[in-house]
Amino acid sequence: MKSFLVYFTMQLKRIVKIFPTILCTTLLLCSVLGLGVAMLLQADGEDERQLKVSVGLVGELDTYMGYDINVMLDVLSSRFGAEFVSVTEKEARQRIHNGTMSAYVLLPEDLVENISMGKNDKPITYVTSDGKRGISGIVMDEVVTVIAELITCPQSSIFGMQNYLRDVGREDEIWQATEELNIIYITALIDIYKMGDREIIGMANQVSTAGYYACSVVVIFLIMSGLNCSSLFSGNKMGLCKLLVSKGQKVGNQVLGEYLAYFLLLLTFFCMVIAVVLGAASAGLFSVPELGEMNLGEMLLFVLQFIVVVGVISALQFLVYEMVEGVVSSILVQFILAVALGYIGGCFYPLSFMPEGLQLLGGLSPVGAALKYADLCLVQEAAWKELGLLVIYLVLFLLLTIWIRKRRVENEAAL
Amino acid sequence: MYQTGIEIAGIKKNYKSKTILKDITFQAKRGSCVGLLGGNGSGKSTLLSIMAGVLKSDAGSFLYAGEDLLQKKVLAEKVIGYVPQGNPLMEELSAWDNLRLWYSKEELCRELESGVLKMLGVDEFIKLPVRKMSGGMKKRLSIGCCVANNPEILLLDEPSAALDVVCKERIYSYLETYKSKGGIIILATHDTQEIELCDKCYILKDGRLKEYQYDGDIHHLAGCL
Repeated sequence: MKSFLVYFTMQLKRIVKIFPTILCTTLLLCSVLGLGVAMLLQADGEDERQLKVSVGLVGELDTYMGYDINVMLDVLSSRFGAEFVSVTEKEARQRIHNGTMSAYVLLPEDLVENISMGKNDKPITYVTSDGKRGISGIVMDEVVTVIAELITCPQSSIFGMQNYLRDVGREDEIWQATEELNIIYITALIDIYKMGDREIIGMANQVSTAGYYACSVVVIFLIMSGLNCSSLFSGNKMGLCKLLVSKGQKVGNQVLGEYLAYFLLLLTFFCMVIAVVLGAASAGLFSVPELGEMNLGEMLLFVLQFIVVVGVISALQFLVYEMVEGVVSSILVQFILAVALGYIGGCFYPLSFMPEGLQLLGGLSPVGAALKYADLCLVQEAAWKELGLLVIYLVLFLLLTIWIRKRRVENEAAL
Repeated sequence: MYQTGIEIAGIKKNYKSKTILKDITFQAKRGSCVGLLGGNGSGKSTLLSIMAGVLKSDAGSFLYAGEDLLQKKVLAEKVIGYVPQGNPLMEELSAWDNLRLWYSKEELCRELESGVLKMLGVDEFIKLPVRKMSGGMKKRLSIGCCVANNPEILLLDEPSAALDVVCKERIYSYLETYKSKGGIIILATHDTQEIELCDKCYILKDGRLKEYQYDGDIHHLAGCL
């Protein structure tokens, strides 16, 4: 026990000796990650603005119905995800080719006549390019359906009302009735957003978008931190390992002593990152609703729960250090592993965005389980299943590291 | 068995379906140095690793004072000092910190003042980080680490490989002193200078040990390896 403590203390000393270098690299990493997140958030904001896709309207817009369409679009323009422009079909096609227009809606020539005859058998055509399919295409389909309903239904009722009044000889009331219906129609459009409430339930694992980003950034930071200590732990000197074994310090004790020191280092970084995140949140730079709802005790509990994630990620990185010899190889492998696990674990995109098979794989991966556990802890939900999985991973990684170290010592000694 | 020495008897080792050591048997008296010679991959390091308790043998014993050190691990840890081929040092730390892994503070101060570490000249670079040390300094420090608690048996795996003459002399001088105090040295080597330190030499070839009398003829030695 004494010799284990001495060895553990030596590992801490090693870390302390090169801590300034590790800290500088970590700060650099933090800056890059912070910049990445800031750009991501800014891009998100711009995306929202850019999401207002341009849609052309081709057809009879100089009729009475065209007047109504223009009124509707003027009233609703700020509320649609699309911007509607009156264009000719040729111009619309040209703009689609140029990429300045996403799609156009072709209103059939005799649409007005058909509606006035009480028919609606001439469909409104939606034209787009192949490249606009996908999510934006689906959104546009929905927009066109809504527009078609908004245009044809009120117009049908107005023309129907006008025909009825003509049939019953009350032609002098037509314009007043039309005006009244138009007012009802426009009022309804103005109040369209009062017709229902929307609730955003978050991006993944029940957390808000900000909460998801906060947990993801911390997890990404942790998995990237493996790059910093490659010079310290990769390519372990077999001379020392052999001498330690000959003096009764078993391989398991060696690995545990080194791992604990590395875990403490990562825990220090984690505390620094959490302090920055909480500091930035309290300074109002961004808000994580879940953190805002926590009292001090709950926040402390969340930080303590997160330590399991630090433990698993440090064990995984330690396993890589043991497997890969050479600093450069270790840095490369740590980086590739961090990106790959971050991706399939849902750190860059929520798992729900991924194909079903990848969702399952990602959820079971160490980083996926860690992220889900962190998310559930953030919303203060029970996460026993994820905790169990993480503990299994932790034990598995440490056992694998010990096994590999034993094999390496044996190989070295026998050759 | 020598009452005042060690006896290695019938050590066998197979590794990855290859027989590395076949029935290795030899003795060494107190105050003597035994040289293990052999080509690369002949099994010298494997034998030393087994004797140091790093690797398990498939059969055989390592007797010292009536005890089998391959079975009595705690005793083996106390009486054996093992200097592996690669240096067992932590590059980020100073010589002092490296030595603190093996010595208590009091022992370390004593050894630096008038003991084995003084003899090896480690006191001259005690505050220097290992990464800034020369190969000779590292080797002297490595030996210093391995001989903590004054072991009675010293196993050295090519201790002076790639070192300059001055450094070699310092190490040989220490080994002579160690021998004169009754220590047993088992030395795996290629170096003819190191062979001259040995009272008895064995050549390890095809997994078997054969006694060899070195007479300074390097060509004859090369032919035997």
